[in-house]
Amino acid sequence: MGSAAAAAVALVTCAGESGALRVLDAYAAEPVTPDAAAVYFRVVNPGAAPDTLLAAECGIAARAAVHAQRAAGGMVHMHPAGPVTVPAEGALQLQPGGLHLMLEGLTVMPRAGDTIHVTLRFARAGAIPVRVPVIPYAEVTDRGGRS
Amino acid sequence: MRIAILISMVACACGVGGENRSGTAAVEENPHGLRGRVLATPLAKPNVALVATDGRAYDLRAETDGALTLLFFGYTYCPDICPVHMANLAAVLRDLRPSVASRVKVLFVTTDPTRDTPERLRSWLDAFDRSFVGLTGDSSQVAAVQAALLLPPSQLGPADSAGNYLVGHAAAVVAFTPDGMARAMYPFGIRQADWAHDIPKLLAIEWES
Repeated sequence: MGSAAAAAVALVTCAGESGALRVLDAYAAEPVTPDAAAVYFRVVNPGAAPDTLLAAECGIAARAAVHAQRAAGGMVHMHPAGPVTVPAEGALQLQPGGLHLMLEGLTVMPRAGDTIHVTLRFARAGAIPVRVPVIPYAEVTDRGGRS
Repeated sequence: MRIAILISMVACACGVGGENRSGTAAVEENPHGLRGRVLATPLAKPNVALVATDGRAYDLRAETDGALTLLFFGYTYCPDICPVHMANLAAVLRDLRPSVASRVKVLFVTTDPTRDTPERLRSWLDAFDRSFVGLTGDSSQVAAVQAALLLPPSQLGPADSAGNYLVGHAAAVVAFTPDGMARAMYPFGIRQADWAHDIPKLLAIEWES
């Protein structure tokens, strides 16, 4: 094995051991209006320290923010979530009816089959670019909706 | 264009399982093999005239007489609960036999009449199915319909300086069988397969009362 390959293996191993965040299973619902599009994904944190999702950006949206819904007394309250913790050796799940990344003020209307690009900014892991496939709303329940 | 963050209180009519506090209807466990949450006590279709997106008065009982009527309260800025319900229903109705689908009416009552103009509501619903009926009403009428159906009242708070305000709505679709009685609720998370299973049954079951 060449030294470059060995170094690459070492880097990968090191990244794994240091607990590199991974963003998985991202998708967005094809928006009906340019006002808002909802994005969902799962952040897996294998590391021993928690991380925090601080902000998000998307080149085709004026604004991107995580919104939360919280059940309380038979009601669900939905509100901007602010910074969201990704627990150590745990995961953060965004899903329909729960947490979602809201893209607001779309300058381009993505269509089902398109891929949009979102950058997530974490306190420890820094910026992580995410490719987000766009699916029709009719496929959202089977993809990630709660039942 | 003013972009408002939606800060919503979603009154979740799902998961009430027989609980009857805070105005939610008690439900039975799966009679007739339905996948929706069947109401232990059916509720009469409210006698109310709302306004359709074309400006016509829409007498709820007269316009939906004899139809399986699926009623939902929502708003077009809703991120997922409202469009997912509408998209799922549209997909299911496209796949059902026309003789079945033609007996179903889907009604969407806006809980955000300030922003959901008739034009915006029509355009939004057309993205799912042009047959879906968009309705507005004054707040007391809409509140009366929700109260009659034991749903928590929708909430529309005042806008703050950034244009953000509260919108709240029940998360479940109310199903009125052709006899004009609300028999079942379909919470968020209900799947197309569940609708495809239940819609023919809701049309066919001979209800006792």
